[in-house]
Amino acid sequence: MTAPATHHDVPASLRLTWLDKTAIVTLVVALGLAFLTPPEATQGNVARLFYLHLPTILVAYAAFATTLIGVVAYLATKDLKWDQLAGAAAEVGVVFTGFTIIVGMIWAKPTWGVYWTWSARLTLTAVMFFAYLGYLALRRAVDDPVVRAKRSSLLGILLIGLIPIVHFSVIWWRDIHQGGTILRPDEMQIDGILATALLAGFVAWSFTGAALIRRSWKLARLEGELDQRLRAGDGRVAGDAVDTPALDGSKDASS
Amino acid sequence: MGWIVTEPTLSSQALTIAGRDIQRERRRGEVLWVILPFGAIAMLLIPFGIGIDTPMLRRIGPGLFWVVVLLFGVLVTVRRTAADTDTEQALMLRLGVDPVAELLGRSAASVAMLIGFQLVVGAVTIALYDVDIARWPVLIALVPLVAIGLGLLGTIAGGISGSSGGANLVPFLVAPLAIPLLLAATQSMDGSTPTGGILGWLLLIVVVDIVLAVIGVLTARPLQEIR
Amino acid sequence: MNGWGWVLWGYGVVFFAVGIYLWALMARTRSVERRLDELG
Repeated sequence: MTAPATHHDVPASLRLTWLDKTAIVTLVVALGLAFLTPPEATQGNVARLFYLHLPTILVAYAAFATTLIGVVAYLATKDLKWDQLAGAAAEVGVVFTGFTIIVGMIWAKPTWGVYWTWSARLTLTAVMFFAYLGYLALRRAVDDPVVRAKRSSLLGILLIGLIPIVHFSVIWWRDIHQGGTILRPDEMQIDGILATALLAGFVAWSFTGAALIRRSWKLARLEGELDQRLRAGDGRVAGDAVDTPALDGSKDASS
Repeated sequence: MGWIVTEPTLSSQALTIAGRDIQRERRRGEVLWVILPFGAIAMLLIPFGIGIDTPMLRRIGPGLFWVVVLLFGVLVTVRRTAADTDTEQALMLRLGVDPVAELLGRSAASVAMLIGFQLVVGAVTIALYDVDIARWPVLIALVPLVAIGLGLLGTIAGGISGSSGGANLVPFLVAPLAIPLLLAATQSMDGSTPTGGILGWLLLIVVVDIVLAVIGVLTARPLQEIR
Repeated sequence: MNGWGWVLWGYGVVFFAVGIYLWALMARTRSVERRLDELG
């Protein structure tokens, strides 16, 4: 049995940074508060899902903003690390948008009797999920890192230009058709200790989101480095292994 | 005195390219023989799935029509004749064709085909779904505006995806971004929308088209560099 | 299912998925690190 690795031997992938540790601690606290606080006045225990649902929306938006920053920074500097950030943040963003939708559906079923309602917010979240996914799909489709960075950032421009219009049009559409009897999702009494639970959720998931984006970015940077090293190579080609035939029986000088 | 050669303007370049694209497509016939019939058969298939109750079909026909226009019409912008071969691209570069002219020309060709697409699939919808289009004057503005929006969107997305994406990435990218077009089309044709609302929705499409045109112009040259 | 059932489902799914995502990130990072080490 080998001796345990020292701190310096632990590879980057497994090492816990201060961000990771903070995320874990705050997550435990938030979980505790979410489960131990008294039930909410109108919705009872089901409202606890909101201490999860709202923070995941926040992380998703923050990840989207980070992707935006990455796209703009890449266009300005042409430094690949910014494109890598954009891609990494988009990945985390898709994951958390997915969480938002799933938790939203799990909350909606007992509250409204259906998994889905066509409220503006929920609908827009679903649209954002697919737009993000499309961005990731484009990145997957391109091999060359520089071409991928260029294409993704141009898609980023298209998204930046159109998504606000998409938002506006959906909200306008739902506004027109909003019936008076639809239960507003915000009919909850979240104050006092419950507000603390919600705040704890925001703090914890912010740290968690940041930690995940950082890891994802690190991975993207490492993959970029690996790709660069493989492409640069040592200049050898397979054909070098083949000698020219020496017809007179002597060995060829080149090897 | 000989004729004087002047540098072709942006618009004449764009028109030439549009004409060339339409000429190519006329020879190939992919839009006429494949994409258009595909859109038409989509309208035919739907009642197989949801039933043939005429009042229901009359009610949902228009909405379904616009969905089909967006999902299937975008295929027009990624037809085979929409992409240049490497040789053709090299030639365009040599000739010094303005990439903005190229974008506008390609989009114009797609727009023309999309208008045709809407008219034909629209006729099929009216027939199969017994739709009564009370607000048909709105279509006079709506059909070209939607065609411009979808044409620009598909062409830009096609340029961004390049050959890496394949034919399926572009429709997927376009789908969420085409939502304003879809909403505006259905809402402006909806009987319950007041006149002010109709104008509002049409204005929204105009805004979308302008934003797309700007984005297209901005991304034209960078896109040319990565091809 | 009373309220607690839905709550447990919701939290369970999210934490499980975060765990999987984190594990996948770490595994991918580890494998890239190894390949970089091999290249020297």
